[in-house]
Amino acid sequence: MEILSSIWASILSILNESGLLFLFEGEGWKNAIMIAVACFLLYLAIGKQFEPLLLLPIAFGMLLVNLPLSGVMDVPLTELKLAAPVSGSDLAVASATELAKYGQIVMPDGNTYVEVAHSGGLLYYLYLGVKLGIYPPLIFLGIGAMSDFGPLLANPKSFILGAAAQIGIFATFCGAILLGFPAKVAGAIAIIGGADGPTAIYVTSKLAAEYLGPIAVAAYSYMALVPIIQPPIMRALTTKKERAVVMTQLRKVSKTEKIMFPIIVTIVVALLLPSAAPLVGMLMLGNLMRESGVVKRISDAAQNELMNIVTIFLGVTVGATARAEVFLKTETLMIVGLGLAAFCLGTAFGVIFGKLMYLFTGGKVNPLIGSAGVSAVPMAARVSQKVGQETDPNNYLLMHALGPNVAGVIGSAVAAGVLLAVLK
Amino acid sequence: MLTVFTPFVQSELFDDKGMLMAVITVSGIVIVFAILVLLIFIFYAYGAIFRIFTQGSEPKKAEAPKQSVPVQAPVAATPQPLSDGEIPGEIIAVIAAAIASLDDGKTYRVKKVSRARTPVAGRTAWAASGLFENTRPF
Repeated sequence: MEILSSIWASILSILNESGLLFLFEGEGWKNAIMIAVACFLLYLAIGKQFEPLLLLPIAFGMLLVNLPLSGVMDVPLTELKLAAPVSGSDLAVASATELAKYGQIVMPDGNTYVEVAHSGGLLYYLYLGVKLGIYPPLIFLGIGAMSDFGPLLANPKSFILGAAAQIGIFATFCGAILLGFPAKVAGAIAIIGGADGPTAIYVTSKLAAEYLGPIAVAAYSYMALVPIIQPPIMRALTTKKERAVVMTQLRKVSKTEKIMFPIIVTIVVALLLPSAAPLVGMLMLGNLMRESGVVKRISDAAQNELMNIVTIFLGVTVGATARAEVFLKTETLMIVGLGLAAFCLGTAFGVIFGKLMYLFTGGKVNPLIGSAGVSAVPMAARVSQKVGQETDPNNYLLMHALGPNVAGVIGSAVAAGVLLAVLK
Repeated sequence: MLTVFTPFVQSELFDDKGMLMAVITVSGIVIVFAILVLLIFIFYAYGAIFRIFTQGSEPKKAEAPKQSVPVQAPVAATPQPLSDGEIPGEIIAVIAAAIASLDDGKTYRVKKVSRARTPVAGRTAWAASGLFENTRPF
């Protein structure tokens, strides 16, 4: 009988220390909701294949951090303990192991204390890469190594469309201010309109780190939903005649031009807007490694191994910032709404400027390529191609849309630089 | 350090919402456009200069082989044309073989070969087919 009661006591003890009990206490229900949200995002990533490369680790990070007592994002702490029992003190007494491990300090009150260090959770340390702004530029290095700026060089006018699509960012900034968000948070929310995940994370980590979870989830969700969000706006703003424009074949760009491109862009952008240098510089370094052809090994590493490793760390740690107490607020819904507005406005301004180019060139530019000015490489360019083929199945806009698409990456990095320079 | 612009007095700027929105929106849009328009000019100029230099060097490259290759060699290698004087017999044979290979080697006789213009966005059938193959995944 005594054995049974001991077993029962040990089972109760385990249950009392488990996270399961926490779910049914106090505000544990919030964690339960977040676990459900994480599972839904996992379904979208796996079942619907919405940006699975990032949504899957983000959702799993969200799941891990909301499992009670998992401690994956615990901050490292130093606990002060007494070296020997002192009557009337509430402080705990250090164990023999702790006494042997940590140094003892004699305080002015005459008592001897021990500073016991508790290490942080695994994801806390990995998160430092986000907090210190390391991962997003590394992702940009990989993107640069994977990007072909040839279409942009063949038609430099595409830069205009990449700039036009950034107007949505600044329009949304105004919306966020009017809704009562502080300036820095408004800047972080607005950058969702750049449709560029790493840029959004970089800016948010610098301006409003506490909003990283909702903003990253919103940014990547909208990037995944590009094929659903953009086409209705594109169709609404263009006529059938405009959508049917067949653009002339792009000129061939030489290797020397492609090599000089990243060097010139880095010099110009970093001189004019130094705060954009980390993002643009890494993007262009990756591209120079690709185009130079002399460092194929590290170019391959940047495109594959480095990119994949950083994507895992970035995704899982950003997801881990979406704790219940931060995520389950009405502000999150507002961020999601403003992010959608930013994205739609960016698309709309891109198409409107595409229409202007259509007018000024005498109908040689198909306005549909303007929507690719929001970054989201290459998804936004694919959408231009797809919507163009709805009108004329033999119209191939992909290469033409890739110009504004990669210009949008540079444009959103420049817009991020502006926000950081003014708001930080 | 040389200070060209007076820096923002941020606390004052942030107090006035209207001023804040105007400053960020206008300066943001102007700077983004200015930098990207500057890049347009740079790359147009760069592309133009590059093409001038490339065009200047192209004729030299074209002249070089002429000096080393004997004039009579291509004439000897030219296949006999058909009676209509347009398509060599070897080419007809290759076309017939390509068609036969698609149908378990049945024997075909080529009676007429004519050029079919395919108005597919100004591309030939082969170019359109290649483009279609390469963009199908998108």
